[in-house]
Amino acid sequence: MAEVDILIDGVVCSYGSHPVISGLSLQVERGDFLGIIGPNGSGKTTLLRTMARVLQPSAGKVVFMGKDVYRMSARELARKMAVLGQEHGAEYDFTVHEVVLMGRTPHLGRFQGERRHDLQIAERAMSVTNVLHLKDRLITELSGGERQRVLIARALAQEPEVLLLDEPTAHLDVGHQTEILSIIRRLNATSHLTVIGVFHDLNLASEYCDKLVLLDRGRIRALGDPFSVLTAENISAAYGSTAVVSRHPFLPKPHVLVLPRKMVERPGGQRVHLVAGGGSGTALMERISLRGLSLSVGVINEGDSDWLTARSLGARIISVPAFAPVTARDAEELEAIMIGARLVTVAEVPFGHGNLLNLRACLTMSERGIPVVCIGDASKVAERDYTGGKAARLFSQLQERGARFIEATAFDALLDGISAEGEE
Amino acid sequence: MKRKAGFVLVVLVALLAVSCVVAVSRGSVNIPWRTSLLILLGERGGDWPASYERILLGVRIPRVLMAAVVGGSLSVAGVSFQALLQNPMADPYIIGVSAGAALGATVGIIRLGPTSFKLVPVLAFLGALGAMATVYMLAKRGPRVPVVPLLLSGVAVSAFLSAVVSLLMVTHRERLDRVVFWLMGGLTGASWERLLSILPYAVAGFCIMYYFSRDLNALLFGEDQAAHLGVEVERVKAILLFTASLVTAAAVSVTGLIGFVGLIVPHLMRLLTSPDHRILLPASALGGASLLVLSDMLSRTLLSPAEIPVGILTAMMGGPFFLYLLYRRKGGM
Repeated sequence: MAEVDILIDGVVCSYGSHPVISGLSLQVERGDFLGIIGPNGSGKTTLLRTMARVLQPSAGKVVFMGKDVYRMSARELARKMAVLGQEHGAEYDFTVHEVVLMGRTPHLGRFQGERRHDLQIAERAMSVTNVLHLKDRLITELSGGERQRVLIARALAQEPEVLLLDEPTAHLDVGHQTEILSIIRRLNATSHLTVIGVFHDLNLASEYCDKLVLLDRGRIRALGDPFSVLTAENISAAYGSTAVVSRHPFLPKPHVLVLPRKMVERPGGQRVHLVAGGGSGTALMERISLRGLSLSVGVINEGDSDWLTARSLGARIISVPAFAPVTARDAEELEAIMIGARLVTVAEVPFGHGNLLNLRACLTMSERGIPVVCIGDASKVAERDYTGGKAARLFSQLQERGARFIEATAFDALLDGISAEGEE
Repeated sequence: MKRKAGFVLVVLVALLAVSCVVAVSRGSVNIPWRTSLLILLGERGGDWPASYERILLGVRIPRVLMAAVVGGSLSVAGVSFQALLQNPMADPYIIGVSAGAALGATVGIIRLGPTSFKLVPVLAFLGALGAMATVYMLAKRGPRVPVVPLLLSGVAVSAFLSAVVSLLMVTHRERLDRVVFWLMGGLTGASWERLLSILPYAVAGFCIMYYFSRDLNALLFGEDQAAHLGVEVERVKAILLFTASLVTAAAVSVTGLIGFVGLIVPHLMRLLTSPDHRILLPASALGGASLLVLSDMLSRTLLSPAEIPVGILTAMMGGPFFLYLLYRRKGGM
């Protein structure tokens, strides 16, 4: 079993009578790179401050390498734990070298000067964070990114086993963000430095951390690897935002795209049902959501790309397992959902025997007076009919009952109309 | 950097020595500096009027040394307050020490009449400590003493006490000039006895501050960062606030309110040497001592035989000089 560096046991923190952290327990193991994420006020920074011995919890305890941090002296802790905070302006004219040497403070006696050993450690720290060439410059003359690298060097000069990060890249541009976090990531990998950081940016957290803990109102909502924590459900529950979670294009990490507020469903709004599959519905779903209309989708195969999109948009879904055909029973459920929709839309999806029942349900709806539109060109229906003409026949029946074939722009206009109705 | 700082310290020691010799030589009777130097070095009964020895040993030397001790005290107290409060505008009077001392002294001058000479410093000292303790208690939040409440209670308590002093002044006009003279600050009351009464505070205070110089360095980066570097922030703050206030109270009790020394000298020395307190504290002690020795000499000689309160001179020289520094280096401190 891995060694435990930090054990947080039932910690409660309050500002006044308002609890910021309510009974939180967490364990951080040697060599972990743990990201703490969560909305504002969820207790991220408070949690970090209790670990850093800056904020004493009103109940519970923080155990650092077997010792209660509030029974350790600041000096004892500083020899094993360093903290890197948000970059902010330096006001005093210390040289870079002097600042980095300050990291040796917890190791030095009161009247003891820096020894050769201390100078060597500072030198090494500066070369790791690539500030050695700035050694004799004044800290006040450096850019934000350089200053933050100097502060990492100072933290390393403490020779810590644990490094706490409090949004260290909050005020930096993307180039410096990745530079700083890559340095820390490398230290984590090569020197087994345990890193615990508060992150505001979910994608930075996902990219650099091995483990994430999602806080929500002072409690842990999710804990685990980035894929298990950064799900659309968790993000929506904690942040109240709708997000699409996909895979990072180059890394085995999740990538989060938070959708604009307008795309989030309005309560009591009109619903549009979509028959789609194989990616034919993705753009349509976004158009529908963007107008604040609610969305239902189906019947669709689980794992289909449209199914993934529908799920991340929080749509109502009627699904069948991957590659399974739609059964009569599914069709019944589909009709029950379609009946409450303001509009039924058929995407430009190929029809085979497996999903033909979807089209039949659309016909039933048009018979019952619910408007149905089909996306695409009526004359090209045969190209996506794999049922020997059955689908084409259903399409023409639909047209007889007033269903129209329309292009994307006309569809947008239609949606705008429906969206406006909802606002009246 | 280090070498330059060492050089500046040597220059400052030399400056202080020269200032002292010049300052004891100048006055209503000008004594040749060689003679002063010989007398200072312990020569007695040489080829000079016997009155020179009496003037130097009885009057000027204690006065110049007291100016040095007070100037040094105010400067190192200013250094500490600026670091502890992470505020470049902080000076030794910021948490009510001056207003408390003023009230104590005013009460002494008004109530005690002619016997006040001995007791005014004691009352000023007690007033200073009382005000400081009040501000500290008002700012205390549980085990912590956060900076902003400390500054605000300092301002509020100072304003209140100053108002009481003003009230006493208007209701006791017969002693108005003596109170005003005390408030403006000066070294007229200097004596060996008073010098020896404040010396222990200055020496012990400096040693305590120097002991915490690394902690003060870390505090320049904010309390959180200092804590992360192993500084017991609240403990250091409590000890040094008390120490710096005590050093200030002792100085103020014998000289009244001498302004600007405790604000300007730390800034000046930071520019000349380094913000590193291991250098800054001794540099400020030496620089502050020289500044007050020279200012006091000017106060005695400029309008001789009248004496200008030295507080007026330090403020008149310090104000413009401070502005010059500020505009020369906008943003930096």
